[in-house]
Amino acid sequence: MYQENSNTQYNTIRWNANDLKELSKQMINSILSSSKIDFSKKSIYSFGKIRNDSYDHIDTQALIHKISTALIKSTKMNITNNPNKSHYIFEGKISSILKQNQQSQDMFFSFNLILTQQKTKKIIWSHDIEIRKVYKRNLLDW
Amino acid sequence: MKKINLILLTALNFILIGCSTQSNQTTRIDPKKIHELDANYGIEDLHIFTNSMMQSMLRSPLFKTDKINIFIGNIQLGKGITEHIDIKLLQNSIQNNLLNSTKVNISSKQNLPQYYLLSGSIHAIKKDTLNRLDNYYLFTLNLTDNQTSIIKWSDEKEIRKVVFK
Repeated sequence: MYQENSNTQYNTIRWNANDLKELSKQMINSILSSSKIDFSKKSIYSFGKIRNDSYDHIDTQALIHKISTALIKSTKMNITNNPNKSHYIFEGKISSILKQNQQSQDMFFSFNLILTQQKTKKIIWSHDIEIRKVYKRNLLDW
Repeated sequence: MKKINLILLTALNFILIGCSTQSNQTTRIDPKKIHELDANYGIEDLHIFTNSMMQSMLRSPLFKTDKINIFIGNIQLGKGITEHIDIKLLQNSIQNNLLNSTKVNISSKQNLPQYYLLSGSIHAIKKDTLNRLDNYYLFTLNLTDNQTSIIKWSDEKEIRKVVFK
């Protein structure tokens, strides 16, 4: 079976494509609706590192690319790949908490992103996105 | 009796040869046809990605006026990619599509005063569970103004393939 458009039908307790899409979508909405971010096009923004402090192997570059592509498409912000040429820089981290027993697993992901002014090192904006997934083992699986 | 047996045996041989020839036959198919053997990256994905990006790019205001200068840069592979992906093939496909659009000058050197650097990345998230293979690919492409370093156009294409075991 081949699907061209990814959907949320197939889920796993560990990090997967649905989580990438959900975290990036919520963060993009938060950035674009912020009153603290300068959308005058006089400012240039870049992305620094998103640290992976979670249990899973997460390609944080994919997260950066999803967010930056959406911001560029919005035409509201100037984005550069060169942090030396930017006035503000986005950086963040992903962390997780996993709990499990014989019947179920409970995975919590937290994605934190902050926006810092390069010149003054002042934090202009910050946002946290949380995702929680629960897996319950079917009694008939025993 | 012996003659009939010989005829039957010969006929059976021909039938078997015929059957084996049918099952081992190699046929040519249209390179653009979707013919999935597994959930990994394939030529179909290259075509889907290139077509999608070209449609998006040519709608951009960058292409509305005079011909623009483009330098084809690197397409990076993300950590989740486990199979071999021929980046050069992808770059050539994009380059040929751009040239056919007649709206760009493709430069082989980064020595023009003003040009746009075409660069991108491919990421993958793959899941192998008990009952399925679930492969997600994210292609991203950018056009960056070399003078300002600002990304003037960007788009992405997602491809997800599921194979039930």
